Amino acid sequence: MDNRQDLDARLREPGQEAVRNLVASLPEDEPSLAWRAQLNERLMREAPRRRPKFGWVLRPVAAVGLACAAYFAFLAAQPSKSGSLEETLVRLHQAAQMQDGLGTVTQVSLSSSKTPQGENWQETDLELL
Amino acid sequence: MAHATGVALTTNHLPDHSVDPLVIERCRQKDYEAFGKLVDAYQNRVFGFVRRMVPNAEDAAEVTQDVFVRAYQAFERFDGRCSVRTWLFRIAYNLCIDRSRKAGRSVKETSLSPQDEHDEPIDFADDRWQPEQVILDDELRQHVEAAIASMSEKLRSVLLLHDREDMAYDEIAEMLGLPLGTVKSRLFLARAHLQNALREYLRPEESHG
Repeated sequence: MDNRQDLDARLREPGQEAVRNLVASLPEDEPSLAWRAQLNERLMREAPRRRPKFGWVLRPVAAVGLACAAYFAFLAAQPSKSGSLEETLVRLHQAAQMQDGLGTVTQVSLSSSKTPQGENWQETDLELL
Repeated sequence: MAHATGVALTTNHLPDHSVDPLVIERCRQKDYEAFGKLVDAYQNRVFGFVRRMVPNAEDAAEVTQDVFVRAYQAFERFDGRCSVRTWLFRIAYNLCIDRSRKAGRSVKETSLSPQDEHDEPIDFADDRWQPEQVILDDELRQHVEAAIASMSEKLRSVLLLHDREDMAYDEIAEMLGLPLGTVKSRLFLARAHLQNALREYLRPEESHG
């Protein structure tokens, strides 16, 4: 215990305190701007990449959205089935109108299994329209 | 000692509480901008310490960068049991020692040799030794720097941490893994080394006579 007290006392001697003040008075060192720029680059390489906060949700949702959009685009590019049906009905109606007007068979229903072959048609063939 | 928020109760040139605890928390999350503020607060002090521990200027600049890069990488493991300042200087000290070992520098111990004890004591009545009278001019500063560079790393580190960074004995002891008595002994020896070196500067007529 005496040694410790002696040491504490000696550390407080004027000569020791004078050295302490000398060391404390040394001017502050400042690294150069180039040094700081280089450090910033090194730190930037260590920094984690910024990701969206809810990226784990957004990415799958975005993928599904893209898939749906592609599907709908594909559908839009396909010819409309209802359009072909309408056209067929219109043709049939027009054909029927013409037959009524002309009394001749000029078109045959798509569902018909018989077709008039030139002059070999019979009246029963009309019922197929 | 430091609180969990990283505030230290030391009387130092740069109080540790100058760093916002929120900044420290953001640093744990590797916030680049927050860590930049930490660098702003401590780069000069760390650089000054490293520069005097690693004599080569280029190495000192690189080691100082390594300190902050290492701190940035490991900040999430900073638990706040010590202050941020102590933690940074611990990293700095370890890297300086590693660099010295790689450079193959030998560690010399300075002890109170018999001839030192027989030297005439410094005249403390001399105004130049009065703490409030000593003025650090350029020439004296160079002598002080040279004297610091001439002592062993063990003495130099304690001298710089206590007298320049104003760290407490127990803080230094914990940082360096030394007993409290060893820290005080090394500090005393370091100052004595400086006194001897500056004795020649202050008393050139005696050294030549």
